[in-house]
Amino acid sequence: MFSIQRFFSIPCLLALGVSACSSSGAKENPSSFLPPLGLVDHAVFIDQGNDRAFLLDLSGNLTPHANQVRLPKAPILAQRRLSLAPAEDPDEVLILSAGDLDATESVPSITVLNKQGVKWSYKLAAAFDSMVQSPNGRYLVVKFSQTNVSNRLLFNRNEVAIIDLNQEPNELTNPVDRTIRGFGEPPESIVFSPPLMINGEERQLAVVLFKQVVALLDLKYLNRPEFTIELAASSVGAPSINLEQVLFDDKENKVYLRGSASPDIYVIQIAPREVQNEPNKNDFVPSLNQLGGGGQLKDMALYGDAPERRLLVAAGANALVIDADSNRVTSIPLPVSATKILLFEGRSPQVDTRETRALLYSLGTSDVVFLDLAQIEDRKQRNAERLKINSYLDVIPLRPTAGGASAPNQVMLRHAGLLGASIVDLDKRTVNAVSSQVDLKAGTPDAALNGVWVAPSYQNKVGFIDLSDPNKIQPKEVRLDYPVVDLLLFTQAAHKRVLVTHDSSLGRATVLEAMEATDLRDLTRAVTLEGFLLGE
Amino acid sequence: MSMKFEISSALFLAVFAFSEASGAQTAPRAEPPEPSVVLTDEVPAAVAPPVVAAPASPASATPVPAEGAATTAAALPNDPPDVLAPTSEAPKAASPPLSAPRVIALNEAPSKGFDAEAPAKSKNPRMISVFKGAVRTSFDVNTVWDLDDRYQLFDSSDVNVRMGVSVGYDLLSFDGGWVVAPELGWSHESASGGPSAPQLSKKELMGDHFFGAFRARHTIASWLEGFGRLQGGMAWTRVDLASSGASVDQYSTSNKAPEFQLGAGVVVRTPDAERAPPGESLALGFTLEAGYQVAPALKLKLDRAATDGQRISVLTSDLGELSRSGPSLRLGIFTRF
Repeated sequence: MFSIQRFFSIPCLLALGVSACSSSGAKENPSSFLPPLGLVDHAVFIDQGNDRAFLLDLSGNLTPHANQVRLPKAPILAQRRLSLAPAEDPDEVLILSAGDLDATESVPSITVLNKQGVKWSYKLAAAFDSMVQSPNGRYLVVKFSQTNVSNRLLFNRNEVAIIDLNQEPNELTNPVDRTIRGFGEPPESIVFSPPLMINGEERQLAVVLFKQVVALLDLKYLNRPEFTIELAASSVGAPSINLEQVLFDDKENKVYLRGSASPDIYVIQIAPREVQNEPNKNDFVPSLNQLGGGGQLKDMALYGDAPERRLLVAAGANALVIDADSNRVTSIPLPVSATKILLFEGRSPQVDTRETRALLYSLGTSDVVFLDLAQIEDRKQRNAERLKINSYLDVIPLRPTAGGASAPNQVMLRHAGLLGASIVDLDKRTVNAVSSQVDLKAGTPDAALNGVWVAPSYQNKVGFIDLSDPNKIQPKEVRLDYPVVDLLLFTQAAHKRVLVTHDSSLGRATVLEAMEATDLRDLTRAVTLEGFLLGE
Repeated sequence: MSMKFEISSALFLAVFAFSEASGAQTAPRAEPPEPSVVLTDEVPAAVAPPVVAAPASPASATPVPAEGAATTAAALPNDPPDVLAPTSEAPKAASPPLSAPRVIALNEAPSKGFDAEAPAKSKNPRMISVFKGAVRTSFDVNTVWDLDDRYQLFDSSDVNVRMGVSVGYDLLSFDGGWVVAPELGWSHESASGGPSAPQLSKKELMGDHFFGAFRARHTIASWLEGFGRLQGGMAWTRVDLASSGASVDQYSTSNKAPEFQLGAGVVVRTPDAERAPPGESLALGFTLEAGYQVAPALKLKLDRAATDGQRISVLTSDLGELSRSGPSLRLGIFTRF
């Protein structure tokens, strides 16, 4: 009646049936993370594979739990929202999501994320893959990058979306979609002006750089057309300007443009004009001027106040000083060739007054040149002083937030290989060499603690060069249990901490107390957090 | 057989105290003291007539000549079979040794060799009537639905299947076809590789469940029984996790917790099993039981398996609590003899 096989087959079949009827949960994709970002006291980890962000709180008592925040589909890029001063810091992260081509409700977007979660989400009309912020963090332009290989059938490389980050999303007015007119070439980059006074109103301009065309866009009145200015006539075989750099003179409302392949500086003067009852017309007009520099212009910097406004240009073996009003050019022969300019306010070994001075340098060489800019048009190369050091790959300006004018004026030069770094005192023009056992790939300046953090990738050590006292430069280091991947500073927070991330699919990071530099070696106060990327 | 008898004796002693109390409450004070008999290996308790079990019934007071009684008399050659009668004049020689168990309840079910219509079955039975002695062994598939989303860490479905074995013993037989059987058992669960948390290369949940249970079953037909079952026990659970990527870290958590299960179901068996005395027949069948398991939640923590050389203290994430309560479905294939 009942065979043994039947007895055994019944529960097995039932069990199989039960399994088939059961529900299955939401499947997760393998995680892939964007580089982590730091808010004032939270670390942000963005999981591209699963459209989510993890917010790790580092403000108080540490716990290995991160708040998980859902993000729009396919986050591809994230940036810390900029600010000009810590007091104005909105403490937000901007995340660009590409959306899903196959899901109509999942459109490309910009998400504003703060430590509470998603603040705003701006829907975009196209799957952009690049974004540029104004230095004050108010405006964001989202665009196609030069290397975009969008999987869309059609897309317009001149299309941009402009977002006012101080305003809530609005389908009609924020963001604003624009197509920047050019002359057959896509935009190369976008630069934002500082606030300029135009017709009694504070405005910010977006300067869109093409290879030899520039477009000016009034960000306050995005309903008005942009100005498109051709800097050089396009002709077959004519070399391109290759616009690279833009400087703004916010006192004179001038825009200075430099191209890597042009010996000239282009100056655009913004002048007001009367517009009666024409809200869609610009109330200013640009005029173009051209300054002959000569040679290959590598870098430029503006200094001095009117009428002493000058443009300093690094042109290889010479430095050019251009009078912004008279356009008079003074060429200063340099002891060594320089391609970069770093302006600083400081003293010199000979003159104990704070003035605008310049450090001219060229990466990959073993010299720097100090240029005293006072009376340089008269004294010329007598104002130049050469300092020989080891060959360097990076120059990292150190601008402490504490100490003001009395704070030490220093830069760090990172050397190749095991040569470590050199700390150059810009006032005394002396060099302190800090040797290293490893190649210091990058230093992270810490304005709050007035030093430089050094965390070579895949080494178990983190170092800190305390620069608060130029007479006592004492590098400190701490050995961690795991190799370093990323370093995030939270030294602007009330509870100063440093987060060192390690390689772990579950999320692993060591938190170092950094109230004082001496805290570093106290490992009893350090803690490793593990598993915070596992989610709910 | 002798081993089984020893188990029976031990269980019998446990029942004895309860039965004494029960008898004291139900029997009139005027009743004479209960006579005792020696229960031997050759005489199953089930065949003794229910003379004490139903003192209020005149019919049941009549001694029944039976093979079992004869065998009992054989153990006490000077005593006639009617020594089991409820009389205050019972000879002292009929008293068993002090160590011998006393029969308080007798089997209402006729054994092989008995006439099924014989008056051995009480017409007005007591609540507790028999110490029966059939042993049941079962292979069980216990399915518990883990409805907690965290179970997706270990399995793509909600179903947690536990394989195991159990042994039961028909200890008490209630009049009207009810039998109470204690059970002991073990089951094992294993789940790994759910869709949740793909950054873990190893996600394994293993558990061993040791339990005791009481099953009360009732014969509905010769091949069908209904039953209710209460189970309690301990679960030893172990969770092994490992990260993925270049550096693989192992995490292991062990947990020990009580768990309870309440269920009801049916037994389908070969029809003539109850007709044979224990040990002399073999019944096969299967059980199907639906129920609900109640157990404390399992804490999921990333406890490092090894922390050699760790200089900085580690705070590992708490993955939350995995609920272990949920509906269950138990399927068993058993033999009863």
